[in-house]
Amino acid sequence: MAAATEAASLGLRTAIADMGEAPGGQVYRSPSPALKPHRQAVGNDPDWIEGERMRMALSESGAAIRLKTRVWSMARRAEGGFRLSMHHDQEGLSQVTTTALVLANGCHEKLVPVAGWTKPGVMGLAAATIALKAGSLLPGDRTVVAGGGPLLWAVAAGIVKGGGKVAALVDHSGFGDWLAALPVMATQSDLLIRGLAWHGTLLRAGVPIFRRHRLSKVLGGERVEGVEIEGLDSKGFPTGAHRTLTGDALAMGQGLVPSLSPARLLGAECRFSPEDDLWIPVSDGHTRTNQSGLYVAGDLGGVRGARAAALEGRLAALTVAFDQGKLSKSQFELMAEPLRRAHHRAAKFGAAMARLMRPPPPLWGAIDQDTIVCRCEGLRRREIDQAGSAGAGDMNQLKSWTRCGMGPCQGRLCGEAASALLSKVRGVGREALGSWTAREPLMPLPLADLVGEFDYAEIPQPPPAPA
Amino acid sequence: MARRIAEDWQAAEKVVLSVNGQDFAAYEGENLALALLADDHWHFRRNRATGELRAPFCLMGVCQDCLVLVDGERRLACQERVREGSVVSMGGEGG
Repeated sequence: MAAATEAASLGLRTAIADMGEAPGGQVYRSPSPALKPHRQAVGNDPDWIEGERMRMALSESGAAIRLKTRVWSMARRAEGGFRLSMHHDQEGLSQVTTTALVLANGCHEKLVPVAGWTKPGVMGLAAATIALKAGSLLPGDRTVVAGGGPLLWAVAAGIVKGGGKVAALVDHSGFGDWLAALPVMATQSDLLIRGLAWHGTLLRAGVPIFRRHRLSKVLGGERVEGVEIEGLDSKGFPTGAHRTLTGDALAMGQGLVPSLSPARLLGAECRFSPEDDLWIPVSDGHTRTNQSGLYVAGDLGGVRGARAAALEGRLAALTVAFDQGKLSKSQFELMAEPLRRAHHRAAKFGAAMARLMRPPPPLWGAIDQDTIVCRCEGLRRREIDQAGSAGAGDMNQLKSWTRCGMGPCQGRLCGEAASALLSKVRGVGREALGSWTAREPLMPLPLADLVGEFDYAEIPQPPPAPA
Repeated sequence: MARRIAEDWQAAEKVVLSVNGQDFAAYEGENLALALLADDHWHFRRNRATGELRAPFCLMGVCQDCLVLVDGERRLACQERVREGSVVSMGGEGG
């Protein structure tokens, strides 16, 4: 939103495409129109207030806004610039050409598979946030909240404030990990205060808090009935100390992963960042990728939080304007420098939060052999390990041999786990395994919409080859 | 089961749509997946590989576990809004 608003205000002809009903990703997801502005789960939610402010600025900016629009393919044009293929449920297919493209499609959730995690009643932490913010819905009567990072605490506090019960908060980080992040957290004092308030809400409600624990099993028949958790030592290795908790819902999430498929489809160079344990696009500090005319902004470029994302979006717009000759070098430097500095500060906070979100590396190895890793195809860890032992040497071979990543989610849910597990069985780093080749469509689409109307008689039949 | 925070909703009328042949009341324009979960409709889609019944996992258009039929079209419930008179079919293989 920030990128489009800034670009339009700089006089660039700008359009924004968003698959949602309203602009704004997951942090600024707009609530149902039937909800009151002041809501119990979120109170005077600063994210909602900021989201509404940004949506208003965007709508006044002059940028063309295309909602419920899915960009399913992108290609570089021979004459320069890009062609985007889009789909809208009612309006069907359309194409747009553009000289500059800013990708700001964010992240999806990083998940450590656990036995039973496909049961109804299990949802991601981001999903639980959406349920609370956009739908004022508690995930269950009694919810276990597990994973790491600030979102874990926000969800648990949101459930309590909404009048729901949290069976327990299960954090894979230790108290010491949070303390170590305190100096950086203090640089964004309003966010630190918000975090402390969440903690206070949970303590007052008597919610059991388990630090340095992982999920070891989801219990129940057709639906969630409880979870089993296990202690971790200071290095993240499971200790064998198990405990059972009852609950009818589980919200789990172990970090965020940049949604790289659009960037990869366009051939943007990506690198593996060992500090983040993630693949991220390579950019030059002014959001440019190695592809001319292609820019990346926000969490897509590396998980650094919403504040850093908006600043980087504005930086991207400035860089586009400069690259297109709309700003002089001195104007560009004058306007970009304060943004880069502010972004740098905000990104440090985001990076500290990302570190707390990350699962301790031993958690991947602790996944049971029988646990489903690829949810779409029902593949268990055992099958990934077998393929690796039999010689599958990289991610694409693993996919060809096992179908891991071939299902409708296009590998988004299993990709991190598959990479971590293959890396273990092959004894090589994740970088050496590469990543799955990006292909269109970027998301599943109704085939009928792609094909359209035609008559078999219209299809030209070439003459048969001579006998 | 998932539960609405009742105090947060405007004193608005609900509209009626059909879910697996039965009448279902929800707020016009609210998220379809969330509205269904609020009424304990948790059986969205049967996974083709494992046969398991799945409920929404990601609520952001990624996991595809919430694929249902809305007025005969395959749609992700988490990306749809409640509309009066919609005919929703859930619990199959997503169409």
